Amino acid sequence: MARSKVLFAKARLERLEKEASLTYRFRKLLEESSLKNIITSGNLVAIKLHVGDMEHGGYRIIRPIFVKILVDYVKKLGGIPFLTDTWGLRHVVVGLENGYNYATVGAPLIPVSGIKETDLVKIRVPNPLRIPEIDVGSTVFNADVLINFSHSKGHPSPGYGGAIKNIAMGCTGPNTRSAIHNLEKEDTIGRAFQEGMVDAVHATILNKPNKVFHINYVMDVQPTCDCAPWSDIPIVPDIGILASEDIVALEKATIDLINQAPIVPWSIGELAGLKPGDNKFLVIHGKDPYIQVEAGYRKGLGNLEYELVEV
Amino acid sequence: MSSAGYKVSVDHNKCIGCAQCYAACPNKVFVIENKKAVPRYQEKCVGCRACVTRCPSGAITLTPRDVYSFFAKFYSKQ
Repeated sequence: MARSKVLFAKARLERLEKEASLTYRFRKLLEESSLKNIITSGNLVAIKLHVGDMEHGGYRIIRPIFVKILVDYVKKLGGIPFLTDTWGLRHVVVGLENGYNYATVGAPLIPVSGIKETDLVKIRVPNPLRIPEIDVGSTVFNADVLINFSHSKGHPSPGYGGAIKNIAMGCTGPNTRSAIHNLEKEDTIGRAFQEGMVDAVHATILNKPNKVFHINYVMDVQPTCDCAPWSDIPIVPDIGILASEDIVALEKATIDLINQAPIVPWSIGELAGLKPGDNKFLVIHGKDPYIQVEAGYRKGLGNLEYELVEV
Repeated sequence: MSSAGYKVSVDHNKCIGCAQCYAACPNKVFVIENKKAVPRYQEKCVGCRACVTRCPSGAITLTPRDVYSFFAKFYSKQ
């Protein structure tokens, strides 16, 4: 199998000009991506992101300017973009307060599954690893295109949360999230949990062949999830933004880059004695994040071999 | 957050006893006593937030209990 292409816009400013800055590089990444083949005029384009925790304790979330850049590009392609996240209308209010609103990014923000998370579509998972049936939010189910815009960071349950987790826990209903979390009791390394997440991803993208695109925002890579009511110093320096149609290759490339990176002083990465090359989230959370990557590969959702293409 | 990692609180000044949390919770955390929701079995809570989403009076709060998490050793207990 040929290696999957993973586009990479680096955060490091190499020249003192706007074109070298990440905002401009992100635009270039989108222009060089396959989105132009995925979105056709009139498509309703769901942009799934995590809009923040319910109590405004966390603040290391995707900066709204990057969402606006994506929204503008979707409009340029003729798509009708909207932002979406789970946890019902209360969470939408949080997202609006965090800067994801029409005035700032140019797209509406609507719940994944209705105002009280009851608008769900049951999808049978082909060859399930752990969960045979998944509740997918009707907003995502009915969208013509799904752009999975995730924030890469640590998470206590799978070790790492990025593109796979953004769909698995963020595009599904409470019963599915509960079923996945209950799998944590099966082992200590996070295998069952991560395999459950991959089943949820499989179900969610099933009705969208060649209509899903994944982006990992590998900035503010903090130890825990955007759902927690706190933020901490990132464990590695800002890396940039990666994107691919191949969710497995994208996640593998992202975790590899995080693991290769140096440690940020004063972070818990330093406290844990981490070094470049360590499987960092395995040390911090005791869960091996590569399990979800390998499970995705086994399910045929993507390729473990990738080519990192800098824009 | 990790399994069994949430403390479930119900503000009984706000709770109207509608039992929507009882009906929504996949893990049967709640019982209804004296027309109020009580998170009797909160050790079963995995943080799916169905109760918070459905509650019509904003009475329910989930708080992560980091003592159950592997990474808590990197943080102060006080």
